[in-house]
Amino acid sequence: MAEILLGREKPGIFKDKVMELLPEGGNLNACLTCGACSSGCPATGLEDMDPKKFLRMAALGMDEQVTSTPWVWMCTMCRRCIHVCPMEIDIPQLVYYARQSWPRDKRPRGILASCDLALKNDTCSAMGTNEEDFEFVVEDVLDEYREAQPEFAEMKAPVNKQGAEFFFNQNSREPVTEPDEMVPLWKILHLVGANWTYGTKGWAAENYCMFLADDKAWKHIVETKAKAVEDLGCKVWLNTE
Amino acid sequence: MSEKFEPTIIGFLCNWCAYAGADLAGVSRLQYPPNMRPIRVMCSGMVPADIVVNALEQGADGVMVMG
Amino acid sequence: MNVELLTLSEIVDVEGDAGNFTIKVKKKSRYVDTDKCIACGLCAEKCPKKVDDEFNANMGKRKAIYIKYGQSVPLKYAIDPDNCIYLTRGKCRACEKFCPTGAINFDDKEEIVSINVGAVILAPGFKAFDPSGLDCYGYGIIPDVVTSLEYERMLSAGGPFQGHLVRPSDHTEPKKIAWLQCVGSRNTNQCKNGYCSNVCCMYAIKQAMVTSEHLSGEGTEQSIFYMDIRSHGKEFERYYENARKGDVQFIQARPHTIDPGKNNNGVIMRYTNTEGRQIVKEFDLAVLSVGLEAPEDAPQLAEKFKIELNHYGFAKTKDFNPVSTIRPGVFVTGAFQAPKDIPQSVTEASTAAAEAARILSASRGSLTKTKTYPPENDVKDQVPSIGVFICSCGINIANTVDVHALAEYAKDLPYVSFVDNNLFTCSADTQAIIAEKIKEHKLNRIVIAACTPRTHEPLFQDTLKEASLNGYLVEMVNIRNQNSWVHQKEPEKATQKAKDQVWMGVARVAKNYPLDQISVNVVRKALVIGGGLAGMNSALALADQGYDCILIENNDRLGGNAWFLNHTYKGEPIRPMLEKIIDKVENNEKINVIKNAQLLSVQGSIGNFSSEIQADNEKINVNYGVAVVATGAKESRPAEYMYGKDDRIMTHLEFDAAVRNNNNEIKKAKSAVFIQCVGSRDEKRPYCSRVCCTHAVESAIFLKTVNPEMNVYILYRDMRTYGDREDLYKKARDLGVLFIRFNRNDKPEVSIENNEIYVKVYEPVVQLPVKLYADFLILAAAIVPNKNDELVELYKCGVNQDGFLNEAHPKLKPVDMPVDGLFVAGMCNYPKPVDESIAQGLAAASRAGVILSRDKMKLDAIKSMVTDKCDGCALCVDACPYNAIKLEHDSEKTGKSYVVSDPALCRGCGICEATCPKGGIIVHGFTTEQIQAQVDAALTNQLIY
Repeated sequence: MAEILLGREKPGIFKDKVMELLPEGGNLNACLTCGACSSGCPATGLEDMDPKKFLRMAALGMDEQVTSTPWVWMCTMCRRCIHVCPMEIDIPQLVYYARQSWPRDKRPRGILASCDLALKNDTCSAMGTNEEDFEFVVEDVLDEYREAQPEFAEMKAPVNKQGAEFFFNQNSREPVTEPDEMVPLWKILHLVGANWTYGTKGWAAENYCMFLADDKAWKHIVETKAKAVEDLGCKVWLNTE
Repeated sequence: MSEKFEPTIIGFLCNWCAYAGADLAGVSRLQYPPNMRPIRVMCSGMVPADIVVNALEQGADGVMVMG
Repeated sequence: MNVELLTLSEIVDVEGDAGNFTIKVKKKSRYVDTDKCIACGLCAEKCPKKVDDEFNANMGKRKAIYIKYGQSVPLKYAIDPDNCIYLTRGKCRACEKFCPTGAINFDDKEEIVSINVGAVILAPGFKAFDPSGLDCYGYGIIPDVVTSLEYERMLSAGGPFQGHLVRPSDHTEPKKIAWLQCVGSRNTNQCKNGYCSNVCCMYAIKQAMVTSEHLSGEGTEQSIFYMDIRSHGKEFERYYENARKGDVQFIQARPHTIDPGKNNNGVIMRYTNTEGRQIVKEFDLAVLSVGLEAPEDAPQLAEKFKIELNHYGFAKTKDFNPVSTIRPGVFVTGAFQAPKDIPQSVTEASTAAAEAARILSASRGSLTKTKTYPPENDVKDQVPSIGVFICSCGINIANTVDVHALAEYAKDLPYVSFVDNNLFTCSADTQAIIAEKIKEHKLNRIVIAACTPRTHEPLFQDTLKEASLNGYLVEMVNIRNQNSWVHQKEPEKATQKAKDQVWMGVARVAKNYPLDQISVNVVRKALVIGGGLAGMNSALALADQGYDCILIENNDRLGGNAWFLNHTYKGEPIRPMLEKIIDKVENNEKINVIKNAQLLSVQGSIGNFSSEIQADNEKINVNYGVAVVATGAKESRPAEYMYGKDDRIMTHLEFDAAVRNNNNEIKKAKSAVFIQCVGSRDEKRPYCSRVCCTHAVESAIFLKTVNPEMNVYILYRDMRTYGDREDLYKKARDLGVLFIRFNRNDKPEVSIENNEIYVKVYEPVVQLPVKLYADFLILAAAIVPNKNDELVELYKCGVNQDGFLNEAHPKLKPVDMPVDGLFVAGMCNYPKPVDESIAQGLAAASRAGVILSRDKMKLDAIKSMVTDKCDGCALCVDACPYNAIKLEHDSEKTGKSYVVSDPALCRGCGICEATCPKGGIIVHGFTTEQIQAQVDAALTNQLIY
């Protein structure tokens, strides 16, 4: 790439725009380029990018590269970077807004499709599983285990139990592809005697719309789930994601 | 049974460094052979060559000038 | 004698004002009578209670009765009441049973004492950052993660591993060691310490270098992970460069997490290299370079003394009064004021002493105690009558050396008329016995076979003096530190060695003769050379202590570099303060200011110098007892980056002037570029100019404040905004100043195209060349010393390789010069900012005051003396490292040449003695005869008289 010309004009505006959106500007200017972020980032080196470099490009006003690198989609939002950053720089937020600057239809197909599926019905399942199917799978698996393992004959997996203490979320991959994976948690909850329930609405734990950086859809998913918790009058919303 | 060779060594120790170091070795209880006879000097530079030669002539097995 | 130590004490209450404070102090119980304790260590040996040794970072054990470390002052044991079995459970008292001097006192009660003082100096030090709370480094969980302080103990010969470097997990020698810098410093996320701790880069480099000496064999590796290496002190950059060229690897990266190694031995770290690649690396040991924090009790101390703390909890001071608090008469020093290194701490200790001396000058000497002795008996021509006192030192000596056999042996030695064996020769009652025996047996030479003369010779000299004998008639024979302690397993050979040692001591002391300490008159007046901030503050502090000063300045006005600076790093405006100080100096009747002055000659030595000074059209002769050298430094003219080719390319001081002159172009500029290390830290000048990083950051903040839209770039190698100057660096970044690091081998390139300035630099993070348009280019030109050649020649003092005047010792005597009676202050010693120049100026006044406070001063008697065998060959003249010997020619009488030695300059090193082929010059107390007598005694067992 050719050299970057700086100084004469105002540099890129992307970083400044993000800073306006964040408390304390996300400390985005405070970088010491120490590289602690990159040392711990699972996505360092992918697409020839790392968090330090990404932030630096934003600081140098390289908006085009910042808003077009597919690296932003490789970030897992784990926040290991900000955790050790001596200046507590909110690189995850910078990544988030960089994702947002992508046209929606150009964003990675897997995430996009998952978000769109979650929007399809009130289960919020990224697999598109509907309420009836979920309820059926839960009951079916439960029966099977109660029968096969007599010590768990009394185990329950309540669905839509009004007034339960805990509203339990479930990653939607499991009821569809690995239903047995749901059981260990049920056993734990059973053994500790927890008063819990699934909801046919809002049971899916994941939120691909957040990863898609689709604020509106993200909000919709969260609101749908929150409403489901409130409708059942549960006190605690447990999300296993 | 042959007797173990026990050398006699004359040591000149600069008051400001080697002598202080030897004192510290004591404080630290570092053990070393008891063959050296220490002579404190104000500077290793004050030890005349004549005395070194003379010490060897008189039977010293070694002379250490430490500074 | 004039310092009273209150240990185990804390401040309870403070009343009164400057000049008359009443301070209530709680003295906790020591349970050991310090007058009786002789630190033999028997109590600790017998004490059954083992306690984690906090001095060794809890890696070793001490007893419940203990001394914190071997160099403790006073060297007296103390009982730790929280761990003592008797004090906690009512049984034991083993120490009491075994103490040979009856020093244990379990009835010792805590008491409140009231002390009346005129001034207070607070020096509570710092607290090391505790990294336990940081989840990413595993400190406290992973055995082979230690703090730098722990590592320091691990390296120490007196430490828990006796200096054999082993790692905590499996006690094997670590081969690969990593240091992680800025743990608990420059971090506002995992802690609240936004400041730089100032010392960690250097101590890490030192530890790495010392480690290289400890480790042998293949595969050793020391790696320092850093953000910026801050080697901004005198000679530090050279040290850093040596480490770089040597075994130490410097990795500009910060590992994210430390994971335990295989089987919990060693560590695994992942970091990103400069190319953006993640590297996973195993180390045998990780050292966390922990920062310095304000002491925990700082808030309480501040409240009691009604002083202010800054936002980091350190004592708040002003740049123009670097050790003063808002409370008159209360001063602070050391790391309590800010994290600082030893040279700076020691310097500022003297600064605080200067401030205290100022307010106490009216009552100086009123409480001073001095000792008097009876007249000396003349024993010079008497036949030696030697008394030998053999110390058992409790069991310290007697357990290894057969002291009775030794005493019997000593009795038969020539001239020995009395031999005694004492349990503790140093104890007060034995002193009385020695004095008695001297009189009883008419002893005129004394041998003390005990510990080391380095600590105890003054005590025995004193005993002799009190017994009317000259103090130089005693000889100490070191049968403890250099015998019983180091030959514990060979008692027979140790006894034989002790016999030889006593024999050598007797042979030598027989040739001792009385020596007089030379007394020199002190001209109680100071010459201050240089009228900058350092020199002026020095002169004012001397004048305030009541001493006359001559302040010479080679310019036509006072003030030096301060005229060219706008404000200090804390934002204090310089010009008004400077004018005030100049006014004070010029109107002080004790200060004689001579401008346009040139030092022409120097004669004499400490206490009595005389010089001729050229001033305008006259020559003035002055006499003075001490001189403060504060000749300053200056900003160099850059030789690179197209300096001089365009007015828009300027140095920091030129830019400051443009700002002062309200240059409108500056505010309108679209872009300003700063380049750091211009002529510093390169091959020609391998030192850091210390002030430029902060200066650039301040200027950048100014630009961003007057015009937030301006693009401001600082191109740097390592940002060195040490201490809370780091706040300024942070502020500049927050304001959007962009900092781009460059490599010394790939410096920025400046070009002028179509009358526009451009700077090309390689941006290392995005790894792309960047071309910066610059309306202004500001160069951090190196600070270079003013020419000191003539001064160095006149005073025979020295400069370092960079031309900065040398101090006598960088840590122990950072303000004294190698020539007695000379003190150094300000930038002529090394580049430094306003606050540090003032601090050193005041410190110099304090050190000078030590000499000026007396009208006579005594010098040690171990000095060279020219004998009648000197034939003027002058071999010794060049050999003398202190320039104490001069060649003279007696043209009138004998026509012969001969040398003359100045006792005020001589340090008694005796290089002259060893150099002289004819015995023409000797050193008192260390004559060739005396040394030869020791050699003969050691080898032939036959004295030749």
